[in-house]
Amino acid sequence: MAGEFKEVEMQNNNDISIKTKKTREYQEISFIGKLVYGNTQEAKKQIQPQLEEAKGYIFDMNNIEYIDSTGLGLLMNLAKQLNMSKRKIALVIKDEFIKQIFYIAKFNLIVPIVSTRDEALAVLENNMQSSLSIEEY
Amino acid sequence: MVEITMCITAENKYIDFLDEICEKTLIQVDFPNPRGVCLAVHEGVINAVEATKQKYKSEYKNKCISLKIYATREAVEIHIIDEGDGISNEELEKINNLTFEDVLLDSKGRGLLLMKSLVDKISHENYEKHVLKLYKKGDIDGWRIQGGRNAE
Repeated sequence: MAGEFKEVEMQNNNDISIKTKKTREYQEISFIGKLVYGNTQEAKKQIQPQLEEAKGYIFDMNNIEYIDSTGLGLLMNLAKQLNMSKRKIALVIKDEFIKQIFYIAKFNLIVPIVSTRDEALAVLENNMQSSLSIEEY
Repeated sequence: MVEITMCITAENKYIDFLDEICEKTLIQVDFPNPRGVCLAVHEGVINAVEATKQKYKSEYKNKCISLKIYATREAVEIHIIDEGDGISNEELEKINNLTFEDVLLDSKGRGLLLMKSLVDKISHENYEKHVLKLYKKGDIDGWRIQGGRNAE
């Protein structure tokens, strides 16, 4: 049975909406809208109180219309924070262009990138890793 | 061929607007895969806004950033002009030697690298104003963004 949604919305010039959901022992963090310069600080402030203790985390980017280097920086900071408590992370991205941006930025070296939520759960359940963990890098 | 010149004040709220103008312009001339070039422009505009804010502090909203787009289906050249201090040759050399792996765990430092990956050529001029020039050929296969790994 799907967990409850918590939604935190911010009104910004470039709107970003963040929903979180608990599925089994994992927390899904869904980013909706644009994760760009000008809204990342607010996004960070809104994400922090929503984070729950979980075995692993899924960053769902399927509803992200646009991301820039500032947005990538926010995600990396979040990944590092979660990794400090040895939690696994998987990124879900369907849009080919946005996926390509993450590959260009080499995120795939330390965080598995998949196309669906089910694949993300499989990666986390099977403890599958990218080439290196954040710690190893 | 489309040639557009726009001036905005150096405020965050206009960045989204410039993104849309860039994309619509490139779509209008049937430039293949415009998203990559437009993201490069977006990164350049962010840098222009930041440079203006750093230099002029509370007066930044009185300063202008210009965007010039020269676009055909075969090629696009874009100039981003700001009144900031520009990039020194030392900084440029440092950036030219950086890779994404070097900044992978950092919260910042990817913007210029991303720009380099998304266009064919970047050049800078520092005179009275700072001019950043981006150039990209309308390569059908430009989907394989240079420097990037094919997804899956």
